[in-house]
Formats: sequence, C-alpha cells, structure tokens
Amino acid sequence: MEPGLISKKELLELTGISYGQLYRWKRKQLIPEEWFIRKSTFTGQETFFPKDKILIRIDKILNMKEDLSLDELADMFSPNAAELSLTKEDLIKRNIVTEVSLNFYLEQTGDSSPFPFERILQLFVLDKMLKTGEMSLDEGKMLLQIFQDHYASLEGKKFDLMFVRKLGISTFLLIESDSRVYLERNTKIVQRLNLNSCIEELKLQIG
Amino acid sequence: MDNQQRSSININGAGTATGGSVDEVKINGSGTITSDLDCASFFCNGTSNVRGNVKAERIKVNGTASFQGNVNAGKVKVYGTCDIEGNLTSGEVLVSGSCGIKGTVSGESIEIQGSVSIAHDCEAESFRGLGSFSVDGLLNAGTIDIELYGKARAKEIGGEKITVKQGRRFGIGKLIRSFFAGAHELHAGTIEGDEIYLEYTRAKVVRGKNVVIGEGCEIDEVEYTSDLKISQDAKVRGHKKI
Repeated sequence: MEPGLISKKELLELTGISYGQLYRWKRKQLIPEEWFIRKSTFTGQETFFPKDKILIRIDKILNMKEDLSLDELADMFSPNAAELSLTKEDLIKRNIVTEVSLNFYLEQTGDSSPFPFERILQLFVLDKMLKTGEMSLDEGKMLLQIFQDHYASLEGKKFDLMFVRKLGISTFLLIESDSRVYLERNTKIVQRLNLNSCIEELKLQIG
Repeated sequence: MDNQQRSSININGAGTATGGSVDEVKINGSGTITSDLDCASFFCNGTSNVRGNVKAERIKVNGTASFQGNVNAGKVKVYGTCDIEGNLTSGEVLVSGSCGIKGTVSGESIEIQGSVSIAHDCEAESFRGLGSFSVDGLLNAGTIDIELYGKARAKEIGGEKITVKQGRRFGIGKLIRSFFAGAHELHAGTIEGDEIYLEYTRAKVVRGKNVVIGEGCEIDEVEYTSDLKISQDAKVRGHKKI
C-alpha cells in the first residue's frame, strides 16, 4: 500500500465509526468525494483515504457533532464563504488576528465595519503569513492584491496560496489544491497554505 | 417567484421553443426546447427534447423526454421514458417507467418501480427499488430497501440500513424462479452498512455490524462486527468477525 493512504477498513477500526456513519457523512459532503480513492487490490476493489486529512476530519466531526447538526458541519467544511461578519474590535478581542496585522490591513484597504467574511479571511491569511516571519510587510501588499484580483473566482473552489521566492524576488500564486507545481531550479517555495483549511480554521474560531 | 410575470410554453402538435424562465411548460405532441429552462412545472405527454439544463419545481413525463443537460427539480415523476445526459438532482424521484441517467443522481427519496440505469453514483436519504435497476457507481443511501422483481445491479452499495428481499407480490414467484434462474437477483461488488439483510444477492464482499444472509445468496466473504446469521439456503465462502 502506498504511504500516506489508509484503507477504509483500517480507518473504521482506528476511529470506531461505522460504515453507516461514513456513508452518511459522504452524502452530507462532510467528506469530499476526492478523498475516496479506489484502487484494485488482490481482494478486489478497495477504497483508500489520504490518511492525515481523513483522520483530522473525522476527529473534528466526532468532536463537534454534539454541538452542531450535520448540515451546520457541512457548511463549515464547505469552501463557500460563510455568512459571517465581525467588527474589528471583535477580531482583536477574540484573538483571531494580531493588532499589527489589522492596522496594516486597514492602512492598505481602508476601513469597513463590520468586516464581511471575505475580508476577515484576507486578514486572517495575511496575519498567518506575517506570523511565520517569512513575509515582509511589502510582500503583504502583494498578498492582498492577489486576493482582491482573484477572490471572486475562488468562490466555492479549493485553492492553495503559494508564496515563492527566487533570488530575492518574491511572488504569490493561487493554485487549485491537490495540483502539482513544478518550479525552476533557483526558485524556493517559502509557504504553501491550503486556503480551505484556513477557512475551516477561521469558521471554527468565529463560530 | 413571481409566476404572474412569467409566460408559459405550450406545444400541441410539433413545435420548437427557446427556454428561459417560464411558468409552465406543457408538451403534448412533439416539442424541442433549444436552451436552458427554468420553470415551475414541466409536463411532457408526447415527445420532448430539451437542449440545455433544466431547473423545475415539478417534472412529470408520461411520454418520452430527453434532457441534454443537468436536471434539478423538486419532484420528478417518470411514467414514460426519460433520458438525462447530465446529473439529476431532485428532492423526490419516482420512476414507474424507464429512465437512463448518464451522470449522478442525488435526492432525498428515490423510488424505482420500473427500470433505471445510472452511469455514476446514486445518493439519497431513502432508496426504494422495486423494479430493475443498475448503478455503475456507488449506491449510497440512509435506508436502502430493495424488493427484487427484476435484475438489480450496483457496483458498490453503502448505507445505514440495507434490506434486500425477494419480491413477494406474485404468488407464483418460486415457480417462475425455477424456470428463469438468476433473473430476480441483486448483483453487487461490495455491500457495506450497519444493518444488512440480504436475500437472492450475489456479492463479493459484505461488511456490516449486524448481517443476515438469507436464502438464495452467494457471497464470497462476509465481515461483521457484532452479529451474523446465515440461512441454510445461502452460500457463503468465508466469514470473519472483526
């Protein structure tokens, strides 16, 4: 078996969930279709999952299904933006972003209150990147620019944000998740951020 | 929706109309709709052909309808013949006639009394199969209730409660069966669920919590977590408790 994959049987044993639950979650789109990887084995067809992703996801579902309905959970995992907004005071008070990032963001894009989800996400990603210590404020401007230009076409899709640098020159890319990128020799990937997990993380913090 | 503002399409005889947003579409002879259609109701009593995607609250097909795109509806009833090139998404689906879908089917409840073939996956909260059907992907439903009155086939079946029984509406079923052995059977690759009851089913693997393998079954391997019953009239090559 390929590393990084887990068979359905092992998954159920490990997590203690039943076939019924797994299929229900698939129907409710709590587990994306792409994670069901069908392969031929000597016993016939078997289904495998990307191990890390599915274990994290099932852990989340099991932890939260007491408090949220399956439909609410599905909303949280969907790449569609939530119908949420927060004021900037809330963002600081609830520790969602740092004040430095917020002020920089306001300088760049102007004020608006309350913040719609789209802007909270931009700010959240900016904050995350600044916190890594690998991105400068100037580069942060580029990050906001790429979001502003392309956010509309991201709606409902799964995207990664890639930050690359070559010999002191940096740039950002937005690419569809799970696609491979090949780079020239001197280019270095500084960060690759899965926007969908950022959205999930953010929805969790807000909700 | 403001239905008063919307016009209707009525085709009696032979005719062609463009789609768009309309209230009611009625086709009594032979009609073609040349683009995407958004309507409250779609009735076809003759032959119709829609060259686009259809969104409707109600669809009823008594004659022959062919949809070249995706169909999205609150309720779909097919008493005649219906072909869908794309995906079918609907709250309720009832097929008494025959229906072929080249894409996936998803709905709240699906009932099949006639014959249906689905080229990809089929998902529903409740699936009732009384006729013959084939699903070339995964049949995934909360409750799956199959009464065998014809040939049923699915590549994979998954759900919470899966029940497959021999059709008992005709008293001479047993006699007919002896003439046409293999006619009224379910064929599946894998069947996985929590509560599984099977009759006259041929499958490679059955996996579940509580599993009953009834008469007429031929199963290569059964894996169960709490309980397994095997009828004397069933063939099971191997089983193990996990």
